[in-house]
Parts: sequence; C-alpha cells; structure tokens
Amino acid sequence: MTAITRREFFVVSATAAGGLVIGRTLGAQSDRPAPDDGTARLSPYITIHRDGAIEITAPKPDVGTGTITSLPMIVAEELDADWTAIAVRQAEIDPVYGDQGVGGSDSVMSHYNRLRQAGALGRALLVSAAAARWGIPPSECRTERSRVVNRATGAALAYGELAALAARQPVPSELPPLKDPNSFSLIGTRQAGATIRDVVRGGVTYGIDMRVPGMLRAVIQKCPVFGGRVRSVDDAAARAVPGVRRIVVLEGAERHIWLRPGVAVIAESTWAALKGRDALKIVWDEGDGAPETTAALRQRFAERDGDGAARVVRRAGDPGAALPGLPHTVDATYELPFLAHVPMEPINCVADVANGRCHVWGPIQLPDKAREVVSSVIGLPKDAVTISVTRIGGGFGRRLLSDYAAEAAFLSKTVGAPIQVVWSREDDVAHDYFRPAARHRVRAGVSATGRIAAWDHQVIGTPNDAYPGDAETDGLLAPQGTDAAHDLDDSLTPCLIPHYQLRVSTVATRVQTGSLRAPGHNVGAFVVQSVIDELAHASGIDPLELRLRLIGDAADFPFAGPRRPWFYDPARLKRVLQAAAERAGWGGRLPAGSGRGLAGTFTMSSYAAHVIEASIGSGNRLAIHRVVSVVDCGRVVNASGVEAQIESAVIDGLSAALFGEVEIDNGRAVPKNFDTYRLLRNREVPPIETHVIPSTEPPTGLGEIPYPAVAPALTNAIFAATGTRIRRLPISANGFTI
Amino acid sequence: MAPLTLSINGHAHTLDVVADVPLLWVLRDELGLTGTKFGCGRGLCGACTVHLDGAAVRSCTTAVGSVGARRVTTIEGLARDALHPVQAAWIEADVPQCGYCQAGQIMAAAAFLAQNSRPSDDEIQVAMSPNLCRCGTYHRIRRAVRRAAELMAEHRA
Repeated sequence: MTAITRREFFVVSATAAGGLVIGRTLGAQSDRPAPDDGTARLSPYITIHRDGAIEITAPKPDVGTGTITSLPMIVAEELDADWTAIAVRQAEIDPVYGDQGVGGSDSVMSHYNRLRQAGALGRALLVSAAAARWGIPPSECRTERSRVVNRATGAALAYGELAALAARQPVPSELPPLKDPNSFSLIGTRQAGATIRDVVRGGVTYGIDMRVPGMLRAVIQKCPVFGGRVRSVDDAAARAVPGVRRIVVLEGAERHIWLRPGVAVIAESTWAALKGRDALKIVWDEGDGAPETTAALRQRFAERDGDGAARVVRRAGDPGAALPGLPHTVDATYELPFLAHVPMEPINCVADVANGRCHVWGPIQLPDKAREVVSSVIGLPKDAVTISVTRIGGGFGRRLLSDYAAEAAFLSKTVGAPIQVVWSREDDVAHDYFRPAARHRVRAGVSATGRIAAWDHQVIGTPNDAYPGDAETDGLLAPQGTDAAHDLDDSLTPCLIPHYQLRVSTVATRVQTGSLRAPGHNVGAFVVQSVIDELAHASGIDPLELRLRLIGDAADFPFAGPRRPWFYDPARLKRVLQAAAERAGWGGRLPAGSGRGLAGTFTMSSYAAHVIEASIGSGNRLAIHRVVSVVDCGRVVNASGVEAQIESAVIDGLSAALFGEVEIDNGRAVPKNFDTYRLLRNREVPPIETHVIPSTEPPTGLGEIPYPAVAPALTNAIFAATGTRIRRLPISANGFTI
Repeated sequence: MAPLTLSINGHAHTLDVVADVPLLWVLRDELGLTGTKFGCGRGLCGACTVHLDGAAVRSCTTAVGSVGARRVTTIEGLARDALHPVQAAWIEADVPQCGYCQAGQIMAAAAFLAQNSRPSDDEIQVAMSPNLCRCGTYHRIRRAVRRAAELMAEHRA
C-alpha cells in the first residue's frame, strides 16, 4: 500500500457545526476551506450533512449511461453507507476529480479503484471516531448501513453523529484496506437511477434547460453546403420579427470543427430566434469544387479500390500469393453510409463572456477540450474559462465536440450578454459531424483444414474530423505479434491468420465527420463479422465454429493507452459467443424463410455477442423475432444499468442497420427530421434477452461495447433466412420493407 | 395584442404572447417550466407531450392561442400529493437512461391509461409508439405502463 503523504490531503478542519473536511486529493488542489454551513466534506466524494444525510458526488457527467448511479455506488459500497438514504450529485468541473471527460466507455473502469479508496477512507475516519468515543481499538468496530457498531456491546453510532469527531482524528498514514469483493452488498445489485425521482417529475436540468439572468437566445443558420461561407445577408425581415434583437455574422474559426461560418439571430425567446432565422435571406459563397453527392462519393471510393498507393497498416505472410491456393474464398465489397447521431436533446449551449472571463454551461462531454476550444475561439486564456456540465440528453459521440460551446461563447462575446444557442432538429441532421462513410474490400479464404488462412483487407473511407488522419481502422482483424502494443489498441480480434494485409485509402471530403458509438468498430465489425459469415457459408463450416477456430488461444496482446490496461482474453470472447449461441438455440430448426445470425466482438475493453432471429415474409417484409445478447464486462456495478445499456446498444444498432443513412446531395446533407430520419418505434423493437457473464475481473466498459456486433448479427440472420447477403447498409436500401 | 390567460397545472397565468407561438415555447421560455422538452418541433417525437383537459397533445405544434380555457397539465403538474401511478411505476421499472424523452413518455402513458384502463400489450405498444426514445428504453416503458395500469386498478379497488 502506498503511504499517503500529508500534502495529498485537504487540511483536516472542523466547520462551525462540527463538520469534517478531509480527503485524498489528486495532488491538484489543497487547503480548500470547509463550507461553514454545517456540512461536513469527508472528501471530494463524500459530504455528510448536519442532519446525518450523506451525499455522494459522481465525478463524471452522465451522458445517459447511468454513471451518476454506478460511480456513487462504488463509493457507497466501501463507505458501508445505506444506499437507500444516499443523495447523489454530479461534481462540478474541478481538477480534484481528475479527468472528468466521458468517452471510451471507461468511466467505471477508470474510476473504480479511486472511488473504492475514497469510500474506504471515509469509513476509516468514521470508525476511528467511533473507536475514540467508545475507548476501544478500531478493530473492535464494524460498519453497516451508515453506522459504526461496537462488536462487543452492539452499541451503534450513526455516521451523521460521528462526522464532527471524525474531523479530529489523525489522518491515516496508509490507505485503508478495501473490502473483499466477496462481501460486496451493493456492487452487483440492481439499483434504480439515483436521480430517478427528479427525472420522472421533469426536474432535471439539461443543457437546453439552463437559464442565466439576462440570457438571450440564438439560432444560427449555417451554409447548407459544406465548407460554404456567408457572402451577404438581407436581415430586414428577420429584424422585423417581434423579439429579435440583433443579427450577427460568424466568420468561423480556422479549424472548422471548432466554429463554422453562419448567421445568428439573437432574440429574447427561442421561438423568436427560430422565426427570425427562417426570415433571413442569405447569399452563400458555396466554395469551389464539385458538389458532393452520395453517388459521387461512392464512385470516388470505388476508384480507390485496389489502389497501389494505399497505406499498409498491417502485413503478415502474403495473402495475394496464398489466396489462389485456398479451396474456399470470398471477394466481398462492403459499403457503409454516413450516420447521424440525433441525440434526443438537440444541440445547445449557454455561455456568458463578461469582465475578461467566460462561463459555459452545457451538455459537454469533454470539459477540458471545451475549455481549450472556447479559449482559442474567443481569445481568452484557458484559466479564464469555466465549464459547467449539465445533465446530457444523449451523446452517441456527438457531445465529444465543442463546436456548440464555441458558438455560444463567440456570440456572447460579440453581443455582450449571456447567450443560449439552440439548434433545430433539421440543423442537427444537416450539420452533424457524421459517422464517416466507408467502402471495405476483403478477399479472404478458408484452408482445407477449415481455418481462415488468408485475409486481404482494404479500407477506403473518409477520415474522422475529430482525429485528422487516415480513415478509421479500429476494430479490424490483425495477426499475432505485429506491433501489437502500439497499433492494436482497439483491435477487434487479434488472431492467427498467417497471411494478412490491412491497407487504408483515405478519401478527402468536405462532409463533416466525427465519432459515433464505438468509433471505427461500428464499421469494422460489420465488415469482419459479415465476411467471417460469408467464409463459413462458402466452406460449409458452422459460423460459430469458424469463429472459435479463428479466435483460438492467442492471448498475448496488451492493449496500449492509459485507459486500457487490460489484456484481451480469447476465452472470454469465445464464451460470449458460445453463450449467445446456446441461449438462442443455435443449430435448431427454424421454419422456411427464417434464420439466425451470430456476431461477437471484443470492443475497446469488453466482450459482446448477439444472436438474432429474423424472417422475411411476403412483400420482402423483414421481421425480427428475437435478439439474444451476451456481454462480459467484468464485475458488474449496477445490474439494472448494465441491462439497460445492452438494450440501448441493440436498439440503436438495429435502427442504424435498418434505416440509418445521411444523404449527401448537391454538396449538402439533406436536412431531415424524425419522419425521414427513421428510428425504431416502441412497437417495432423485438424481444431482447440480455445475459451478463458473471465475473470477478475488474469492471470494464459497456456503453458502446455491444453496438458494433448488432448490425452484422442481423444481416447474417437475413442471409440465413433468404440466401441474400447484404453488403451495403442500410438494410432498407436493399429492397426490404420494415 | 390582447394578453392570453391560461390554466397551467391548476394556476391561472396571464401572458403577453403572440397567439401563434407554440405552447411548448410559452411553457419553457415564458413560464420557466422546462420539464416539457423540445425534441423535433414538428410533433414527430413526443418529447413535448402535455395534457389539455387530460388528453395528450404535442405542445410544439399547438399554438398557444388555440388552448383557450382548456386546462394545461405539464410533467411538473402531473403529481399531486403523491407521485402519479405512472411515475411510481417508472421508478419501479428504472426506465430512464438519459431521461430527456421521459417526461413526454410519462405524459403520453398517463393520458392513455386514463382512456384505457385495461390495455393489452399490443395496445400499450401502439399507444407509446408515437414517443421516440433514442436510448432504447422501450421494453421498460412497456413494463412500466403495464405496472401503472395495475397500480391504478388497485387504487380504484
């Protein structure tokens, strides 16, 4: 155990009403004064109020994955607090909480140990206080449900009663021991959302609900054509709309992903701003070059097929030489469209630039990044920018970007008042940073001994503007031993394919792109899991069996990066596949026109597999009868939350596979709303059976993990049902009605 | 422009608003009742669902001038002394994920159950389909509506 040095703690001090301030910091802040209102801050994570009420702070914003519940549960477990009497609050943005960015499905994974320690430290101080009160050694105390109990006498003291005394205890010189996980009584149970009472009464403040005194509203019209700029504006009609105050032209930032050109209507109300925007007459400079269209982009992708200049990412053996000799081969071209995120809460942000400072409130997933972008766009130093994160109405990758914070900050600085920017749903679809489009060409083959022996894979795609560079290649197969520690950070399935090549061709486009749920994997897994299925059918080998042979026992792949210290374990991937197959009755007979499809991945840090049962009826009508999903995400914190995330990923994956497509026409994304950008409705979702492999491994991620394998499980089912292989998404573009 | 008087959650409010402003924006921006959400502005997603005399309507496509004397109920006014049975059932089933659509779902469910106290599973799914959930809480919504019907029947018994 590491000794705790005094500088790592807040100074222990008592408040006027017997409070306590102590806690293991992360070395950033120190000596924060105790609040003088009778509350006792046991640590940045634990506050005990004067009446004994215990409040636990969730260090990260909640995008909808339930971390506002699961993170405090970890603290409460080690603290031995009565969860039924806990209040939870979301932390302000403060370095004491470390990295408060949300992404990579790693909130629980990265905070598990730190939060356990915070809970254990709080418990140790409370025990120490009780022991002092009773005049007994701490070892003669135990804790349960927010009380310390004298083992010998059974006498009990509530945590609330002990807070003041705990303040006067010596700071422990060592980290207190953590619980034996076998004795967990909260972690692993089903708990309702910690703020659910507020949610069901409409009492949660999302970004769009933020109100700041003197705040004006802004709606921005951006050029429908990607890369366009404002040439001239006739704003007379807009100004005549009652409530409209001002029109502001935005030139945009040099990095378009930070701030794009447009014309903002500033008004006293959201409706007036929307109406004013509709009344603008703008002449755009649409830029040079031929306008992008979906067809033209597909053509440009096709022209790069077989491109000798494609960058080789991975190579082992010689697939070109090996393929002709294999008895069963597949040559398949897959195409995936741009996808929109459409989080339920439209894009919005509030900013107030005044007196050389800027305060931003919004549904922001990466507060440090937002601070950097805002500071750059409005020309203030970073420490003059404060970010406050509200509740977030869904992310799916959209809220990783800070453009809407920059818009609000720029307008506030220009106008000299607090500004709330709001986007319409049509704005959201037209000006999203889409999941990149791609074309994948795979030539692969199975040997006479029934194993995948060669795989030649070319990725042709648009880049992800959030991470400029090549088209995304996450989630693709790679052979053992080739630069694993550095480049295979997000590899789907390291495997033994003796002849393997992965090449990437990146196609520049004006279409704006960004990260979508399991970036890279959400395309790569569709291709890989489909091609494996094609190989299975071509060689007469069961698709589950072919996967098990492929995965084998290759285990020596450490995953690089500070967030992912875990090693991939092939046994766990095989187990989720086998469990899904077993539970779904894999291999059992189905009526004609019905079929089962299987897909499973190691994505980012956890394992997921699905079996989907589907059938095609008259009129080429697709029916999805059943989804069986199995996940291994290590030790589960909140069983209710885990089940919810699996269902979320399945429904999201089905919607995207069935309907998801952003049309590019005449250089622009065709604006849509929920009538034309279709998502599954309640009566359209099939039964979903979720199973979690019980595990004592440390918790790993889940929000994104089950998503990539959903689409291929469905198209594999359609193949099994009909013999029709879908290689171009969405499914609705293939003549099926849904 | 004559001021409009509206009954909202049992209270009278007199407002200086243009008649064609959607009720949604009057609730959110004039009255600070932000529980009713903006999701699409075209009546397609249901996040803006409120009750007019107990019936579910899309406030984003309801002009404030058309409300008249009808009683407006928003999510903030659904519970009275205790949570509405739909809200209680929602908690039992742990329905929300991001939570943004949930007020609209709850309002739609409450109005539906007031009209149909013994719905079949199919009727529940059809009734709730106009309300989109991007996070995919549909299965729990179905269970919660079923449970709310039970709670309401118990209450009547």
